[in-house]
Amino acid sequence: MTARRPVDRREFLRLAGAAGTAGAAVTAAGPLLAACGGSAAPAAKVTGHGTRIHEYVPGPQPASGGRYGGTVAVVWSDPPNSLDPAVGYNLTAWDAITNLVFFGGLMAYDKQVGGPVPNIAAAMPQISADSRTLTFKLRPDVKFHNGRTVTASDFVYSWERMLAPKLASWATSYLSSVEGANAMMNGKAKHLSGVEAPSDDTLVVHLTAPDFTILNALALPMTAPVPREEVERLGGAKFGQTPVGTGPFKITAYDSASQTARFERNEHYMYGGLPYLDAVTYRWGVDPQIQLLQLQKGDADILGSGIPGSQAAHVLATPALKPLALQRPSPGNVWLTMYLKAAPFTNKLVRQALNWAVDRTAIGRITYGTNTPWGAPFPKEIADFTPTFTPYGYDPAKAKSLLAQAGFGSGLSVTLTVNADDPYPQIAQLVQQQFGQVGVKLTLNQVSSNALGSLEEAAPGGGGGHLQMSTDDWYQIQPTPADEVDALYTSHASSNYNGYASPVVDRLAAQAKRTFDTTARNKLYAQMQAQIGEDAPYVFLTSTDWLAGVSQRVSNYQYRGETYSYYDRMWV
Amino acid sequence: MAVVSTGASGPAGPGAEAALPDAAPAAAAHPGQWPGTLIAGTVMLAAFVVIGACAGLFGSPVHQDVLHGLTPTGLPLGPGAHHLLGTDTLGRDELARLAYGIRVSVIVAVVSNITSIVIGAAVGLLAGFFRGPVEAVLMRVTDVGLALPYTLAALVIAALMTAGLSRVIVIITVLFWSYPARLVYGEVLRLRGRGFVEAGEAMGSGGLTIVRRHLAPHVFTLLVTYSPLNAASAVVFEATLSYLGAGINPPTASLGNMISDGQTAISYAPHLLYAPATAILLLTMSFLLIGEGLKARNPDLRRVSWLGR
Amino acid sequence: MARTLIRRVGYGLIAVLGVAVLAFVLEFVVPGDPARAIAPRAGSAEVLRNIRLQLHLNQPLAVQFADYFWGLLHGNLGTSYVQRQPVATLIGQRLAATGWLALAGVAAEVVIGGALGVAATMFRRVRVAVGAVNLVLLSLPQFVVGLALLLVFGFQLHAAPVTGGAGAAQIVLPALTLGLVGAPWYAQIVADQMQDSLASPYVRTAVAKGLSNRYILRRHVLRNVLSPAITMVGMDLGAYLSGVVTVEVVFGWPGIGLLAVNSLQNLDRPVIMGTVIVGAVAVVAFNLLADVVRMQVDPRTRQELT
Repeated sequence: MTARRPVDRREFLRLAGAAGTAGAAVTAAGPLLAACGGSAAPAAKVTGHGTRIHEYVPGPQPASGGRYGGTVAVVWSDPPNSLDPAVGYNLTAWDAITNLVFFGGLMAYDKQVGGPVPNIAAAMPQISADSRTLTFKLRPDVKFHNGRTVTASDFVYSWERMLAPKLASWATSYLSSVEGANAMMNGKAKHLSGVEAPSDDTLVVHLTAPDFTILNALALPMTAPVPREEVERLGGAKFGQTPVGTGPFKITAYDSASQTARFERNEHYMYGGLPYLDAVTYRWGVDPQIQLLQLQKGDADILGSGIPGSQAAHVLATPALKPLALQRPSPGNVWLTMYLKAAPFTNKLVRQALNWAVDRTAIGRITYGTNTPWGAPFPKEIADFTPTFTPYGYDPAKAKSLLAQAGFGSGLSVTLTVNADDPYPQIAQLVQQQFGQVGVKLTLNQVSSNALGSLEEAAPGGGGGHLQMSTDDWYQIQPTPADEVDALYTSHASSNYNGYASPVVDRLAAQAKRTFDTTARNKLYAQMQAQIGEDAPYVFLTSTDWLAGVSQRVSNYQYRGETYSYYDRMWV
Repeated sequence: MAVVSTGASGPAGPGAEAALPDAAPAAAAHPGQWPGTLIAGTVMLAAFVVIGACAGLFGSPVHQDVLHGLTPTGLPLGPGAHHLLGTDTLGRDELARLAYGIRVSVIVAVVSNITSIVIGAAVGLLAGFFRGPVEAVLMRVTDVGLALPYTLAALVIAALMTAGLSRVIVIITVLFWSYPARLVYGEVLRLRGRGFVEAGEAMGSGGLTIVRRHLAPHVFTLLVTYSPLNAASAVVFEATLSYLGAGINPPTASLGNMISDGQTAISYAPHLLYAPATAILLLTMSFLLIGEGLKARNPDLRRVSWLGR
Repeated sequence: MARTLIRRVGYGLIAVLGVAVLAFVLEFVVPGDPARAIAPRAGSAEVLRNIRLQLHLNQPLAVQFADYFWGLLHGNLGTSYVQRQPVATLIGQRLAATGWLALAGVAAEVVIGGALGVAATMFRRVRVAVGAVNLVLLSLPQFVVGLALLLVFGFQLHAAPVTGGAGAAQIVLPALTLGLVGAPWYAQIVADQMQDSLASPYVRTAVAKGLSNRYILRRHVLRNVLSPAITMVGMDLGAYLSGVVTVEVVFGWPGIGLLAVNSLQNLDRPVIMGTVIVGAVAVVAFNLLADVVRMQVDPRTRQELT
């Protein structure tokens, strides 16, 4: 049991200062209110006997109200690919990296869908007039699990380690707007010129051009600080299994042979009073159906990947099981990509027609609580976002007339390449039948997800024997449409494989990148949404949800699509 | 995520015939006659073939009825008046899918069974009979065939051929042939050890005659014993292939991919698993009965036990 | 004898090498890009390019081939693309569990199958029942058998642990699953060979001579039954040592089967090669061992070794 820390004057100032600094961007409405003892966000029940945490902790609220003690067991099917924050990316790894061994970086995402707020940084950064230099002051009380205090030079070391080509990190492009990052990525520089640590508690970051997404990148664990001495002591391979970080839990055991890992409370965690749990254990190699059984019988507390899609309807329809399923928003989309370089998809009318030909409600029915019908780009729920685009609905008559207008009144034959993972085969079969009703004959070709990725990459734009249509999805790790726009919709976007290029979108995207004010920026994204929706490069199908599997023994289960389960604030 | 493999521990292991009543001494040998088991088995198999051929009579296996073919909560319907065997997770009629699935699986079972056994037997016979370098080479190839990881091989073949029945048959043949090869090889050696080949040579018979007259009957027995199990394995193995994405692609139904889909629905729609599993059971039984009957017809088999009971 | 043995071992190594080469080449035929498996959310094309560079994925097949086999000669199995751990470590950690399960599974199927086969031969009345049992076991997918056992003994009766691990208590159900699924094959072989032997002239003579049933069974029948059974045990041990994915998944048994399947989906080539080689060595070794044992048991087959 840790003693509660009183809020001292310095803390109070920090919380007050979080409300706004010149040029600072994002939503952080809560801190002052929370510091005054109230909570603005809708919350799980806070018991009267629960511990009150007096400091505001970023993330879905509340963080207060818990009891100390106990262990929670989380089950997974896959092992974490690596717990090194610069290398880990699969679900099991990401969950541990974002909420156990590490917790954000300089920043951390706030509330259920809010943007980044200060975390290891003491306050929002000072942003220069040209928006290209950010100066961060660090909290003085953040310690690594080995006891050493985090300093600004730790960030410099960590980012250089991440950008070095040898590590082959997947996340290097998240720091690409930092000066000198590209030189490092190409192996041309050994040090990151755009970052300085003039003192232990000051970090200065120079950007090549204004880019508001840097604050999101700084909230993700790839940019979290790691202690050099531990990396060197353990070596790369071992650090990937037993990393040392600053998060609410430290890893005390990683056993590949028995497929388990154990994380225990960090007694010196920066947010005093948290976490409530004594320990969290991971167990992997468990089949999803067996996971559900274990949850039902009390042998597991949380399903790492949520309720499996194939069991979701059953769970929601069975009164005894329903309390185990918790629905949470999860920002992402599912769609059918149309490859634009060849007929018939060069014709916008055809693309729009297909968007009207899909009965998304039916898809929602068979994907049971994990997908919401949504015929538009971008996830359905975005903070501070007012859409202007009306999503596509189901109108077969309109679809047929558009097809006729485009010259395909007598029908159309297309091949859809389908990802073999659930739920794409099911969705594809539904769509096949629906398209049939408007005269579009869809042939299904099922391939493994990895193979699909290669096919998409090999022939950008499709056509000529390559892909015509494929199933695709995207899950955001930033709480802003920029995540999708920069990855999919600008003409040089990294995952833009169908050749979509709109000068309007490109222009708006570049402008949005420079706009630190959230409201103004999201107006731009609304315009982009309308343009992309109208251009219909994809057949937009659904926006994703998350169905968490949580035992009734666990209280205050919080979850965000970008960072997964929050273990610091749950109790048993 | 889809559930992992079904079927035996990979391709078929070796086997012998089921101990069914007709193998009792009284029914030992019926050379020239048609034993009851053979008739029963053939009739059953014929019934399956007829169902498969007339699958169209059962309705559409691919028509999805998301509105009326599912319960209000989106779950498959159980067996009832409108759908005799209920519906699957996409609201398709299970009975129609079963009929079409039987068609596909009977073809897969029969064809891939024949091809894998013919190739395997040929390799085993040649290796066992000719000895020397032929044997060495053939047996090493067989070893490679046994040791090749079936998942990798399946994926490779799947990548090289277009989806369909032929692809499944090719994959099963490639993965299954080495088992009968090794069994036949072992049997030929055993027969050599018992002097069959020498006897034949002493009688002045040429190589092929020896193979045909002295080795083949026993090998045939072994194969007839092994064959039904092989066929049954092929049908169930197709479920593993479906999971890997190398099987019969949806929306076409096959008993294998119906089992693969049915496994995930065990807790709320068990009929989706029972239906194809029962079909496989009966299909296997028909193969087994045919196997029994063929053996009973073989005059070289005297199965009377001298232990006198 | 020793010479033949050495020759067989040599052939075995050739077979393993053949499998390794074949598997290596085949990996390149399977569509997919290992770099994408490591960086599914690659922020830019540069990231993928760098990863390919670091993993030497851009080099021509021949060069990668030479690199890999040169490393193999030095006992280096490479490093996993996905987990960044040495392949030898990854496999080594799971080898013991795989081995125990293989042994237990084979023991189970031999015992169950053998019992069924003997019962069917010796006791006429149970023949139909045994046949029916065989039929059912043959038609049930492995996953279903395992799940049923887990549900009944694990979750309902609480007689077996359900949360995974590799101990003595945890091996019972997985081994039983393998045993039940594999039993029909052994039952068939045992029944078949027993009936064959019991009908043979040797046995007729022995009965006429007035020898006891037990002696007859042991002397004349057992040998014939053991011979093909040993062949099958050899094949099964080899197969199980390559990993039994279904059982591992249902029971959370930490074997190399799941490692192999996952590595294939991720195109984690070093791990694929590692598991393939381990599997190949197991298959070849145990087939050879089976041949040797069978030779001892049934000297009539002694001349078969090439």
